[in-house]
Amino acid sequence: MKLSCSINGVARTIDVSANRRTVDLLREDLGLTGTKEGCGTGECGACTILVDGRSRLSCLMLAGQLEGRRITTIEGLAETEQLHPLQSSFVRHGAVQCGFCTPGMVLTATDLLDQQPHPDRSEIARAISGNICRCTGYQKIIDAIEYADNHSPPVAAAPTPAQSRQQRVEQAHPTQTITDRPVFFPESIDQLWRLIAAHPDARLFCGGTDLLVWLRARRVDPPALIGLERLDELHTIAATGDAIRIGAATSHAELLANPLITETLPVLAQALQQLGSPHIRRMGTIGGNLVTASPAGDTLPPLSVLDASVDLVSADGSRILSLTDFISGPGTTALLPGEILRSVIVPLPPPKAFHHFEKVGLRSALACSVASLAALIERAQDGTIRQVRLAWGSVGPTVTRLPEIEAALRGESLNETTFAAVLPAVHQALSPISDVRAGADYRRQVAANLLLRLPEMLSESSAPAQRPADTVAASRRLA
Amino acid sequence: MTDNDRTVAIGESMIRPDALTKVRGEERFAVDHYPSGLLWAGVKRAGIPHGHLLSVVTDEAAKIPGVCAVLTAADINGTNRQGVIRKDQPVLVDERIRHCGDPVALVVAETQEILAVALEQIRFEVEPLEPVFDPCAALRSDAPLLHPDHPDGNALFTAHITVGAGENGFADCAEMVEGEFDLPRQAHAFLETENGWARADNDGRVEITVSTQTPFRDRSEVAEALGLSVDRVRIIAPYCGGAFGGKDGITVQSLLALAALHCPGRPVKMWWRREESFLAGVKRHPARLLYRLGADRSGTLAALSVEAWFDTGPYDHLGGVVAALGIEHAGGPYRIPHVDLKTRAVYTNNPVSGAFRGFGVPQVAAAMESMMDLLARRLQLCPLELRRRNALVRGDHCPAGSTRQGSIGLTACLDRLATHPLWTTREQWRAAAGPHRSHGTGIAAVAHGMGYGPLVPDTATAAIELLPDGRFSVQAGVVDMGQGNAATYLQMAADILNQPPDRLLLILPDTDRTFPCGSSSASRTTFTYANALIPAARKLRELLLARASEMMLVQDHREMLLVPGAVRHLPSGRDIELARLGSLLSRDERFVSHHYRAPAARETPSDNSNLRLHGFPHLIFSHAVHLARVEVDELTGRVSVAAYLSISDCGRIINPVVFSGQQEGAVAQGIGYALCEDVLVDRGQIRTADLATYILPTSLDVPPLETLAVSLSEHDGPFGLKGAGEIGIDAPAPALANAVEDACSIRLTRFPLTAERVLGALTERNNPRRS
Ligand SMILES: Cc1cc2nc3c(=O)[nH]c(=O)nc-3n(C[C@H](O)[C@H](O)[C@H](O)COP(=O)(O)OP(=O)(O)OC[C@H]3O[C@@H](n4cnc5c(N)ncnc54)[C@H](O)[C@@H]3O)c2cc1C
Ligand code: FES
Ligand code: FES
Repeated sequence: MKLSCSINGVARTIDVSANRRTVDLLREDLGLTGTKEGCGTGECGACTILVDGRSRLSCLMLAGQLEGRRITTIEGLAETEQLHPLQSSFVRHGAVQCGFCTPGMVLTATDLLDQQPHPDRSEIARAISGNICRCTGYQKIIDAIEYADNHSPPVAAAPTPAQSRQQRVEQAHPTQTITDRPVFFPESIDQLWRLIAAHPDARLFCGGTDLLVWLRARRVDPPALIGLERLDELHTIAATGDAIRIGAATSHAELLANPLITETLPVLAQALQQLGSPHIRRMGTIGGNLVTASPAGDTLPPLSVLDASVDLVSADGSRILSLTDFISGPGTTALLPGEILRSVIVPLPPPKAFHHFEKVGLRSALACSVASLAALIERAQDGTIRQVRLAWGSVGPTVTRLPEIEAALRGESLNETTFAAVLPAVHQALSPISDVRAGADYRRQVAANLLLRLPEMLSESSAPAQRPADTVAASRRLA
Repeated sequence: MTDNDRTVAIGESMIRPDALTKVRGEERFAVDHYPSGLLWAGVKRAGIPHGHLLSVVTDEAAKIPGVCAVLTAADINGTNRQGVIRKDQPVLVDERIRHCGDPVALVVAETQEILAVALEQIRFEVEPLEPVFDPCAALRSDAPLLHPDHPDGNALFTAHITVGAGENGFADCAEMVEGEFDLPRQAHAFLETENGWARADNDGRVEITVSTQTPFRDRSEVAEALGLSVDRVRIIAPYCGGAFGGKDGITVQSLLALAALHCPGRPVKMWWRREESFLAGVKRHPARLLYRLGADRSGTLAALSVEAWFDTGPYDHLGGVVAALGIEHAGGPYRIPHVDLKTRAVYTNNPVSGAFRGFGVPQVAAAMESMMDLLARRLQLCPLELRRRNALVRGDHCPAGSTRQGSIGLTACLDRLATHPLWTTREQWRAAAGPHRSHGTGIAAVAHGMGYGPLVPDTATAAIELLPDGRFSVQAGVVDMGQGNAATYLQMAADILNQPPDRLLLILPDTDRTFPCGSSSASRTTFTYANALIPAARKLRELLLARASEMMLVQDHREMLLVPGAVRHLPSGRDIELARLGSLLSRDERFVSHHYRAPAARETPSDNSNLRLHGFPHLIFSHAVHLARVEVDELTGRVSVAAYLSISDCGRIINPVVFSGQQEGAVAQGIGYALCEDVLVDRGQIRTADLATYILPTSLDVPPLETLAVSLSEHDGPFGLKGAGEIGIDAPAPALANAVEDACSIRLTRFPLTAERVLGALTERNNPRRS
């Protein structure tokens, strides 16, 4: 394709396959080797670039997605020969050791400061939690971002670099001839149907955070790809009477930025807060999460307790399915060929319900769930449980609901004894598997134990529905 | 004087010059080279843990358009063996496959896509052999042998050290504690995976640019393995995107050279994907350790017995040396009169183990420092008090029997800890735990020896030159893998020459342009090189002052002083520009080199010459005491680190920011080692071969780290420094295990302390009958 975009402030037209990974385009074809690759699977952040000013992982983006966009790589951050204040701060605070994570860190921090000029240390730590640094232990990086005061004089420019930036770009030479797989980005639904008709075996994708990982591992090898990101109607979030409609292409970060979601659906917001990393939340979508239908998919348990349903549409019409009917097993959905997920419909939860989501993973960010619990509890006047919905993730082939446990809890008082009493039954009812992350016994035990947290969380939050999503992680007291 | 003319002094946090290029994305790592006409090389790996390789079928792959070469062991003219002490690792498997990552064939192709297709087309025939995965099982007489030619079977290296009455020392002990420990296989997980590129000219000389810690040793290894004379090989070693020991030794070098020699004139690149890095790269040695520690009632240590097994995988790599350093440190930094230490590095069909920051010490420190807390509990003594009572001081015999002659700041570290708020408020911390949580505090004390030991010469040759333009160039043949040693060299030279750092250029390691300086490892990098550089810089200073005084017709060159950019005659205030001096002098007159050999222990506490060859004993030790504050979530078993403190004795601090950066980075890696990092291997197959399943700490998993130093000066150290790169990783595992026991009375001896293990132990604690 002829790709038109702006790279580091220069409008360019580049002859490149739409299927080429952005990181390869930048490094190999354009010589912009400041963008690093540490994993190729979204797990390290070394490949971070800015697309229209927002951080993106270039290993999980195809060149075709760059059409019309403004791309900034580390080479283009400083507009003059002087360092950008963040770069200067990284240097002054000793935040650079081997330097391989540095470009990604600096760009991630640029994005953060752009949105939030004075973040505190825990906000900074959260913002860079999708960027692995193996050398520094992060402290000096956090220092550098905290004190990246715009007014401090930048330190002296580097001793003449081996090649100047301009020369580097001109050295560019496409070295690869790609087995070309067409990639389409329809801009209207009609165009989408025509493309699907013409390429019935094409694979859909949206954020690509699952699909590009599978392509790299050659787990899938579709003849064509159709990206849904430019379909405006998949991006809307709207309250419609007694429900909220979320377009399938809405990213997790967009959801978290929307007060309708954080105020009305805290249980979903809490889950999204802990999904992947900031980059993954930027790129990944709710539709992709549902269609991937992983037992560990973090939006599934909250959407289940919220009684969400999905709106599926094809050239022939549309239908609405409950979440249970939509997801039939690990990685399998009721989606038919030619059909897409258009939106998720979430009925408004009872106004004073208590929302809670907890995920147990092997670390505090970039953690695939080992067990998770979403809970939605309504209290009666006397403080007993009027209604309770519980959904577990990662302890069965798909979301686990236990109606008999919910029934047993109704009418009981909201204290630890109540939940402790149902633990054995929960144990019995769960059927997790063992995998490389955890054994089945552990999963079962932890999944049940998570219930014991509920009384504590309930007492901590007198007005849970107002709880800003941002404090959720903190209140979990994970360091 | 402009800001740029500011000079730096020792002890100041000088800005690292490499940070300036790295932060702009302009520093070119090995992986950043894509010369035009590039070919891609890749390796077909065995996929099975043990077998005879009968044949390799390459025809199908070779026929694919765009495939330039398909090579096997038959194409190698040299020894086809690599290794540091025992050369037992083939470049390409000739006869026997010994682990799943063993390379069977090498393919060179025009593009990465063609390469991938071609690799899939390669077939090979094997006769499977019985594999062995457990190091103890591998030592049994009926175990299958990995190297039938090795006289000691699967026992790559064994050593036995007895001090005092050895085992008999336990007879008089009033108290004794025992423990059995398992330490995991840790991956370096540097962000820049193993890679390089090479080009051979038509005369068969090959240039390899590679991410390595050991350019000069690589040169000899490549030459020998491929049957080239050493002058046919040039290694260029840019800054590494992380290494930590994982690039100490050959990764892609020989394969690249072989590929390049078969495609002369064309640049050939090899870049292991993350998964291949897990499969074929080295890891920290998993270890099993049996400990017994005895003391009298007052808590004076009396006897220690240690049995250690280090799983070296199928090749030596540096397994023997790791086992030797481990056993030398097995008794920690304490006085123990009666000691019996047994260590072995054992061949297995697991992935290859190799050098990793800490080099055998994190394993034994995890055990020994856990034992100290076990003993303290038994004696109802404060853990800090027990350590103080037994801390080594200068002139003591260490547990392995050698005399500690260098500076020892251990007691100073312990004293500093005793008054630190994180220690004095530990009861408040314990009481602050919320529901279903418990809080605890743990400490650990460690020593870490520096250098290669008594036999292998620990040397470096530094060179420094005044350039015709008035700047200086410092040639350092030792790699900076990110730790900042290169900047430290410039800082020292800048201090001696009284120049601002940007008037100094660093020449990075290149076997054609710099002198051999040994490896970037063993906490010796800065110590040894700087000891060569300082005299060189001083000599050059004297030389320039003398020449300048002659040119200015001054009698006494002591009236002259180097100032930024010039030599100044003090009585008259007249300057002669360095650029003028540089252009007037011939290169021989403005170039100085100096060779240094680090002092080595003269003592021979063991008559085992093989143990000496493997580095025992060391002479100079750094020390540290660490403290960890944890919270244990009793519902999930998750351990989170709330605060962390390290207090170190690494001699004088040259650059405080570089120093604390080393400690912080090592502690973060140590937290990973203690809590979550483990390369899981099932019958030789790695199950955690990517960064989704191999769990590295993120910014949210590392707590605020406080880094303190007790700044003693080490007599032999350049400007008084000692090694600082490794010691920070020795103490986190035991400090955390001790903190977990302090929090919730469970003692875990199998690392990492995963939530699953912690919850299991908590369940047992609550239902003791089940155990
Ligand atoms: C490093 C990393 C960490 C991650 N961490 C987490 C985590 O903590 N929790 C978690 O739940 N997930 C996690 N994921 C998985 C992934 O990010 C999420 O599942 C994400 O929501 C997927 O959305 P996407 O738009 O990127 O999906 P894509 O990759 O674009 O698509 C995924 C699948 O959905 C299909 N699809 C997408 N949109 C539609 C549509 N509208 N209609 C029909 N089919 C569609 C695609 O064909 C594909 O099969 C992680 C992924 C990575 C790489
Ligand atoms: S390369 Fe690791 S996230 Fe892209
Ligand atoms: S500085 Fe090396 S990975 Fe961050």
